[in-house]
Amino acid sequence: MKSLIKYTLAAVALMGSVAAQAQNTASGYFLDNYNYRYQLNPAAGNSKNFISMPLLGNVNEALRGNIHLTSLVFNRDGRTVLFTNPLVSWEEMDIKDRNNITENLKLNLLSAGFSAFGGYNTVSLNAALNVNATIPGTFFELAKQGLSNRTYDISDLRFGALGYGELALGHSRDLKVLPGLRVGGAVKLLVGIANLDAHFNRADITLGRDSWEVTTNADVYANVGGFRFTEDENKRGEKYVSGADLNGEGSVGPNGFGAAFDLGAEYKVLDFVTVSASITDLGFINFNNTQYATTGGDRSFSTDAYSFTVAESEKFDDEVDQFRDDFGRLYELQNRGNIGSRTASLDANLNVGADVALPMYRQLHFGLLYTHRFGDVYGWNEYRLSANWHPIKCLSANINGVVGSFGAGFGWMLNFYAPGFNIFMGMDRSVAAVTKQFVPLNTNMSFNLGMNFPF
Amino acid sequence: MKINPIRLGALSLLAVVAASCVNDGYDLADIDTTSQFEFNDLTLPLNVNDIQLDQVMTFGEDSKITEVTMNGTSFYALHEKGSFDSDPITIAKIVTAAPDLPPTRTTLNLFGDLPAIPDVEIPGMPKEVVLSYEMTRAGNDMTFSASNIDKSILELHHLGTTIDVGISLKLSDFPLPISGVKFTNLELQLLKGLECSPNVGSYDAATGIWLIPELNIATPELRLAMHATGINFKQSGATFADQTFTYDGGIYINGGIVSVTAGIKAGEKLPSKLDIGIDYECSGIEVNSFSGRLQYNVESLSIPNVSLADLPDFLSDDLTNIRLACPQIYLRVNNPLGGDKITVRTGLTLKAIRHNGSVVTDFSPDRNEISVGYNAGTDGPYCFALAPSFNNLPVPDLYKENRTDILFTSLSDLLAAPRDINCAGLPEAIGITFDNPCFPAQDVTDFRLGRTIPGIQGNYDLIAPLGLLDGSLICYSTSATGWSSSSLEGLDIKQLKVTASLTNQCPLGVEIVAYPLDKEGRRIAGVTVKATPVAPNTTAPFELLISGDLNGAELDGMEFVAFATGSSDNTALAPSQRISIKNLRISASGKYLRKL
Repeated sequence: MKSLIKYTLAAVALMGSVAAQAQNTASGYFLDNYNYRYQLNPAAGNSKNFISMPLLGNVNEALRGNIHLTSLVFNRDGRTVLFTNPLVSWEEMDIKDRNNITENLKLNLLSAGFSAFGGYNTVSLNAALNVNATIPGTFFELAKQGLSNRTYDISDLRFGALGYGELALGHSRDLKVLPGLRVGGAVKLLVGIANLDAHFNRADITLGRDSWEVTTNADVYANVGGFRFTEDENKRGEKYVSGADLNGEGSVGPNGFGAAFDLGAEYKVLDFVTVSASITDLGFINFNNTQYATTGGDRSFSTDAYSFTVAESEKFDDEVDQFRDDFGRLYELQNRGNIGSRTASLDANLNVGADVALPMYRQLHFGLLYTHRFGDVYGWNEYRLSANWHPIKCLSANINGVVGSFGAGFGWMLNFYAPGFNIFMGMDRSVAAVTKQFVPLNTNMSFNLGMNFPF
Repeated sequence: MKINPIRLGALSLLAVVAASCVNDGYDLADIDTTSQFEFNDLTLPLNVNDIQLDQVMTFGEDSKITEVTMNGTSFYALHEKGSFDSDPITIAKIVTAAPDLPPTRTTLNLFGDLPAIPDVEIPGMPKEVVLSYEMTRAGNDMTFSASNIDKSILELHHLGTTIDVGISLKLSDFPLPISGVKFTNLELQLLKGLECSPNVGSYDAATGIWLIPELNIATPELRLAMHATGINFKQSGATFADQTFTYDGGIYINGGIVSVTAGIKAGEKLPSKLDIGIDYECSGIEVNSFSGRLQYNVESLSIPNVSLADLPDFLSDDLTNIRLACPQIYLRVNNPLGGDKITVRTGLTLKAIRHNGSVVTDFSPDRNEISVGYNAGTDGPYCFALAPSFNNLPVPDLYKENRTDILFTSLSDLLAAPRDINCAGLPEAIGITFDNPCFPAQDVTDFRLGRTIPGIQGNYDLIAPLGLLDGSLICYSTSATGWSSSSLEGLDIKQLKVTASLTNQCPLGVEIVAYPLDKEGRRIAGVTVKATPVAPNTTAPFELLISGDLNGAELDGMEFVAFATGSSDNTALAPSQRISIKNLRISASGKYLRKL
């Protein structure tokens, strides 16, 4: 068990440590000569054409969450202990009602940007993977504070993953009808690779003094080629989902298609003041071959339904078996098989920014960016204030501070922009502290790097 | 202000790197996974079906405590029934051999003067003359004796028997032709006390004298016989002592005159003497019946012990002490001598046998005498009910007829532990013994001897309903152990509480206690257990509270002890009685500490 915990934590840490940049790094929104600003706001254009280094043009990895390693692991008397250790109090844990962890990986396979058609045009081929998990705070409360006679609502325990490929064509231009206004848009053709959506719609545990009531309602949708639920059979001869494998029909690969749009605008209000707004990833993917497992609506369990015959061991055992079976049915999902197509929406992003340069030193400007990630339970928002510095043509950098759904943080970005060569790196949220194994103590971290060739 | 961009960039990068410092306090390679899970007054509600006694009270096939149905009512009882019989009744006849009576021969002298010979003589014709002779005493003594007479015969007043007595007299060597003989005042001495009616003369039983005033016969031979049908023991002068019967007497001719009529011819002389030969006869005595006093001890009247070895578990505990509310014993017997108007009497003792028989406690009726009369003849039946009380006694049909109630107060304590002896638990067996069963000493009339009479036969039914009086205690203890495991080691229970609303329809007070046990099977010290007893036939809250430091490392199981206490309610435990448990709640507070 100890090893399992270590490996789990290490895996989480790996997810975080691999991340070099946010999916679309917000730190670069105002950064001069950052080639991929168009992914944050399609109205943004570059001064030069460019082509990316294949696979390494823009690597974004972001791990966000409002639950951190420091909420689960503590130092007590020089030792690293779990939150379940008696020396750790519930108040120290900083557990929210809803604890989200989101990982977004976006890998640019190949991109190019060029001026033409009266504006600036971009072509991008990307692979994206978004993984989201939400754990209700009640879940941790149950583990930490122990059982007592009250109601535990563990609804909205969710896990989702979406993997797809995208071909994005973008165009931006200045609008002459309103000097200072630049607009842009992108159309994205999406190829769905995998989608998994597991949702405990209801998991109400009421440990009353007069009866214990449990209600569950869960659905699991999976769209992965070759994916299938494996089944087992309970004592009543009913089949239930016992696991999953990739030995079903088909193979991992394109499994659906969709489209998305990015829209954006920038407006130079003053010579040194620019405001902008964009909405990105406004789209969907229609997946084929959806494997569906469900509880089939609410499933209820009540201790009131059982009456034990203590005087006759055989009847007592039968009732215990019935009790156990019915309790087990709470989490036994029925395999509904392939229910056909299912549409998965992308989580859209809204960015609203304002950039103000120092009139006396235009190389230094400050930006304020508000970002809202849409998504029913996985949504988040943040405010980011950055100081962007562009001292020389070949170098730009910024540092920024952020507050939002995932707390406060500190980011930075460095962009080296030499003629014919560009490399950048940055972090929307820097890692403040790490464990001995260099695992960030804070979940919120991102990493972004890329190598491109401007011309 | 001139800013060196190279320097500023280097400083920024250094700041970023410096910001990410290693915190030595977090070492994921060495995590202490000790975890604690608490449960704070966590209450588990459970529904429990009513407990009907027939669900929990199960008995082995050979169990003497079982369900009994009488008059349509079922209840639990110590129950044993069966039959018994005694050896056949036989009182041998009194038999004596016939006495040896040798014949006698005697010569009689002429009684008085010789008679004159008649003068008239017809030639060739003898003259008739009568000669009288006086008889002298002749005879034999005789004794009848029988020893080893059945000891049940205490006194003899009258014997029913046949005795034949005979005396034959034959005149011999008389020189003249006899034409007739006459006996006058012939007196015979026979046994006294005979009951007879001679064909001739009279017999005086008091003296044994058979007096024949006059008897004429034509021949010189006389046979006198007498057939007696009984003996008046008092008159007979016989004795009966030490089971030996002695009957002394004799058979004599005491006296009398014999007159012989004979013909005499001229020239012949008159004989002055007469020879008589006497033969005596007397049969032996075979007493077929007697009147007198009899006491017969009945043999082999017994009932096997009632083994309680196969008791159900809940009655096997050493603390169990039962005072029965309404135990009953029923007897149904015949009286094989009822036809002779003889009564039977016995005592009865029930024995509570413990320690392989080394400790036996006796219980007997208040007046330990069961008397069987004869008003219902031989077959009876004669029924008896023995109980501490006869109010609403559910007498089985078999034992209702001709019933006599006998108070048996101490029967309630039949299963109770004796107060003066350090004995625990229920007896191992119950013995039922008849004390000195007998036909007690009593006068009998014409009691026939020599017959074989079937012995006393009867049925018994011991019913001790499990209705428990005050002072009774049923203690049932069972343990569930083997819980000890590494996964339990971190369990630390501060308090365990079981509450319920308990409706006790049983006539017993109920108290249930649970004691945590350690690995050695001992009750864990420092843990206090409080339980709420529930009175009989009430609905009351029940609470079992186990508090203390109950450590899972020590805990290996629980000992459940149930106490049932008696009451003034005489109702017996019955299969239909219920214990209803409503609102059962099991609450626990504590924590579970272990490494994951």
